[in-house]
Amino acid sequence: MKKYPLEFKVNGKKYSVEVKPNVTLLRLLRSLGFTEVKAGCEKGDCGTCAVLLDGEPVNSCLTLALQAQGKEITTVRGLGTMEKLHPIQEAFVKYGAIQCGFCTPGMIISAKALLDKNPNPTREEIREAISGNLCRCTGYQKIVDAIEAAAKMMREAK
Amino acid sequence: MMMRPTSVILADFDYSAPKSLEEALREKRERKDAHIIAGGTDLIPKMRGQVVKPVYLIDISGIKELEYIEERDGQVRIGAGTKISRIIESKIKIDVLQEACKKLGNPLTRNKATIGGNLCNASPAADTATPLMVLGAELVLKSLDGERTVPVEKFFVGPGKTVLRDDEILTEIRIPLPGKGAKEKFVKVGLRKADAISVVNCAVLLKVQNRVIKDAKIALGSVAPTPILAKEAQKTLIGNRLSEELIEKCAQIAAKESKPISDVRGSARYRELLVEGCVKKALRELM
Amino acid sequence: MDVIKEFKVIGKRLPSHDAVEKATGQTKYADDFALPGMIYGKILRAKYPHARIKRIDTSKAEKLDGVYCVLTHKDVPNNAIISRFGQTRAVGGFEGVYRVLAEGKVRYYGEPVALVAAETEEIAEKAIDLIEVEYEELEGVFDPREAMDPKAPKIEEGKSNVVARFKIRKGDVAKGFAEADVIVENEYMSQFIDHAYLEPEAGVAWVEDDGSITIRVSTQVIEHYREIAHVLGIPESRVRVITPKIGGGFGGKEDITVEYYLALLAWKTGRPVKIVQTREESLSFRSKRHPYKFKYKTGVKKDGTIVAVEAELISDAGAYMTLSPWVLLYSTVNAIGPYNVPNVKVDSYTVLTNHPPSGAFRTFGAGQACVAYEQQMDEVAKKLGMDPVEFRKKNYLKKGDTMANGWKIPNTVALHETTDLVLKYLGKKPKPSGPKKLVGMGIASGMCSYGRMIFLHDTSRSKVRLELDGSVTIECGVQDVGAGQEASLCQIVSEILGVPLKKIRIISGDTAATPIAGTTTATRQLYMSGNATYLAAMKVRDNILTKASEIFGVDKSELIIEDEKIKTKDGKSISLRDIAVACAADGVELFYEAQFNAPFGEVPDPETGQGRVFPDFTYGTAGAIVEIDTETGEVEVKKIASAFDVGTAINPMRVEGQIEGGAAMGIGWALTEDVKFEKGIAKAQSFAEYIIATAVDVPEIKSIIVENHDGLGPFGARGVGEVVLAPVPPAVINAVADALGKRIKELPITGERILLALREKS
Repeated sequence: MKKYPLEFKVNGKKYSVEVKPNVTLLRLLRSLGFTEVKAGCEKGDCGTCAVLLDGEPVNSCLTLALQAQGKEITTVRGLGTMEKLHPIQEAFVKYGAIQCGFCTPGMIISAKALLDKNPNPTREEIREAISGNLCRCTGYQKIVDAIEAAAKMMREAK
Repeated sequence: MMMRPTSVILADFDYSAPKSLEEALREKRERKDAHIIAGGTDLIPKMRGQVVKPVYLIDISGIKELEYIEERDGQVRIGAGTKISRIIESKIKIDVLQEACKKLGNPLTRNKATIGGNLCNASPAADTATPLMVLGAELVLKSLDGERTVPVEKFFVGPGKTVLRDDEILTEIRIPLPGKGAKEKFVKVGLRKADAISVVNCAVLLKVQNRVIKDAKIALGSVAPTPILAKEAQKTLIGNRLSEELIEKCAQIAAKESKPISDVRGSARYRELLVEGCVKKALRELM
Repeated sequence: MDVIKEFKVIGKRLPSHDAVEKATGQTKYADDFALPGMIYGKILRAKYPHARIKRIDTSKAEKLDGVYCVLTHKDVPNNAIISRFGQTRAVGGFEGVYRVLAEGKVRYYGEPVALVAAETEEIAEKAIDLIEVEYEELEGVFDPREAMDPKAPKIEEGKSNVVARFKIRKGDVAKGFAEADVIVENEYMSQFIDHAYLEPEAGVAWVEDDGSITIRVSTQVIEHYREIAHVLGIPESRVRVITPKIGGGFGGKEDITVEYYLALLAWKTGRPVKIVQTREESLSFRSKRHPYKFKYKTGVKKDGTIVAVEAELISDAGAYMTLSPWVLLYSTVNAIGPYNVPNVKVDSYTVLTNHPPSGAFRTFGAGQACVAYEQQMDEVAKKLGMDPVEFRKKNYLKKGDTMANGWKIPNTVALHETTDLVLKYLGKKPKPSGPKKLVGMGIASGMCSYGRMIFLHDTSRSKVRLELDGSVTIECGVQDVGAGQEASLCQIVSEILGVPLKKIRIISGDTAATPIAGTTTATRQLYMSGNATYLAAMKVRDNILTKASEIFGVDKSELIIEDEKIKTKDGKSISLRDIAVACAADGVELFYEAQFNAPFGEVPDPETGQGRVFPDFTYGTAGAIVEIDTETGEVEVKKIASAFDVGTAINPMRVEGQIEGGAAMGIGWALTEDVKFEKGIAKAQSFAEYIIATAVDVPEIKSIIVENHDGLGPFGARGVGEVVLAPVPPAVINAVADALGKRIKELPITGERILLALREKS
């Protein structure tokens, strides 16, 4: 099977690779070291593979790597680091929204996408926005608390 | 669909990513065995589970000319490559379709899934099919030889099967604007409130004048090999005013017109009862 | 030893020490790890639920380019293992066989038959397809009651399918029923449920320089290293198991998952090997919650006093015994629930069938019993015409009462308190939001043990070391499933040594490098490792206080530790750094490895079931308000609340997180989750068919913490991880029954079951 050239950006850094067309973006990202993008089901049912693709949250397991041609991808690591957390990450930490943490990267991506579009969401709107991200540990309660708090932090920072 | 449980890798295939519709049509003419991929939200899981093994994929997700929503000549025209999330956000109001789009998949898949993909995948449960049927939409199918339009209810021939010829691509959905006096409603029941495949869905469009129903369309999803119009149920409404009794009668007839099967999501009897319930809900909201 | 008078850290809502690393995607779970030269393993699985293996031909697979090896049962040094429960003590009886790879016949659909290791996952998948297996299908048995019949197909040749049975005999039920004014008999069930952790089973194994095997795998039990060594036929000291952070366990990673396969493939090929299961493999083939069938007969007096309970419990063990007898014992001990009943007769059985082996799952049999006994409580109340809350209050156990197995309860049983708090939050049952809706309210009380069965003689060890700069390292074999197993230990040490969390580092889950702390199961880690860590930290504290008392010339009791300093009453102080240096200079130990022993007991009397089984219990109540759409059958949980007496909440934020997670899991158990086995084959393969709650499917969850400070854990804590699930499903089920005016006993209570029930009614 032929390989095709692929150029794209991840968290602001340019990547130039050659991939087979049958490789999903999820698997490519993980092979490049972005292990924060998780393979929870590889079928689009769980959201653990969520990344921002040109700013929009998508399942990377449902995206062929070649469909990222010329695009910009953001993973949770691109939002903040241990030294400088994004307000959403800060809120997740502060409000106890993380237990096993496996759903957390994808969840934060969906939260970021929501707050980019809607800086003052209701709790219902938050639940709707993360309805494609499954969590088995938290019951979602503190995740909703954290996203609500992050929204407030971000509005006040402006 | 049952996936092959241990599969992770998608089988090998040849691939092209045409940048224009013309290019895509040429490829499709050359490779009649090719599969089209747009958002991939239905196709990729099937490929991973070895349910579908394409040998050639034509990736139309980069064809910008297939992504648009515009109003023209009393019609709304939507490019087949338009993402579901764009349809939801559009300022052009087609309530019944937008309601369905809001309930399709989940917020992540809605950013990849396309309306064309939802239709061509031709699941009887397709959430955009029933609204388009009650709207009387037409689909534009293009090939190198030209184009033809097909009413949406004639597009589906069976589960996963459409009238698309192997050198054709669905390019546009044309929706006549429902106009004043039109009342629309979409109801979906899944196994949970979000991120669920329809066990039954139903779309209703009524054209009402002085509270009398002049025209009625009721479309049902997931209760037959294709999405269907409940024609007998529609007839009961025409010339009448909505009332509890009429709604009850109409819903029961709609249930009888449906021919559901039992599958992993529910039994045939359950679906029959749901048709009744969904039609009642939809009509009552329009009362 | 002195006692800490006022908590500065315990009881505070501090973020967990590892929250930042998880929020930034730093945490490397099992699949996030790779080694140079790593190859990939895949499993060939049985195509039938019960079939004789006539022939296996691996030659074509072996010839495929890129394949390193293909293994079947004959390549496994010890393929058949006797499952004997207990890492710390082998308890006889219930010795069931477990096979690494199918031998002779396959006993469940998906049973591993062969292993492949190949250069890439792609090649491994192709190789699996090239292995030829000839099967002769055998008649399968899929219902435990049917499997009990001596004429049913035998899962293990020549052996009964009934692998264990337990009894409880207390008082005289015949006499009790004779005295009863009302007798209520009912049957209940609980279904196949999947753990549905977001991280599928995964791991990497490699051969060390000295030929020993190391396995880095997502597991709740690193002590499986002993069984792995036994399978390979090598000394236990030559197998090392490390667990990274686990992406959810809930008991599904308590049994062996991929460890044997990893070890075998690494050992045979000499290469590092990775295995990651697909979601379909996880859902279809791995262990599930034991389904149960229950028969309950309850005798009560007119005034609501329960006089007798007779119960029969039958569980589906699946194709291999594994943990089934112990799950059954939990169900048996919990069978009548947190109620004071003078006459009790319980008979329980666990039976092999051609399903995947059922395994451990949060509450470990106690939750299934709660599903039954709490529904029965409501049914009895209804028959009596008594309010279900008043009926429960009349019979709740209290401190000093004796449980059905003869254990006298030494501490608070806060059932009245938790029930009242839940009712207060729920308020009055609201009116339906529309004419086609029905509203119902339900409550349920439950109990779960914490700490393992005492006849296992459970122990845990933890080591605390004060560094020379005043920071702290904790070494403890605890396995962290995300419920604060590590974090609580850090918080305990922070309190005792006055060191801030960011200066505390914990190394965990490594059989070669951390003291063995036992399994992360049975809600035991806070209790056991928390106490061990407490002891270790207190010893270090004592050493440094002794040194400081020498330096300052005052009694130890006059000193406090605060803000990384040891302070005297008259304002003198020394930093932890300086005291550490002083201790080191004088050869005073700055570290301590402590062991904490649970109470040691013996197996209960097999004829009467009398005898203490657990160290202690946690009690609580859940309540729910549901609204049913009578036209679509859809159920919406409008309000949910649960309250538990957690003893002392080390970190209330984490305790709430457990309660909230338990509530969501309980809603799924009651309303949507079903693996849907049909003749041994799981129909729910993915999260599109196996329905767990999304954020839209749960309401705001109210978690209520009650603290009576008389638990056996550190600072009076009780374990909470499992009890938070137990009363939730019956609370929701009872609410639905209240709304409908009749009880649907088939679980889950799907929209389909509701619509059909409503139709039946009219």
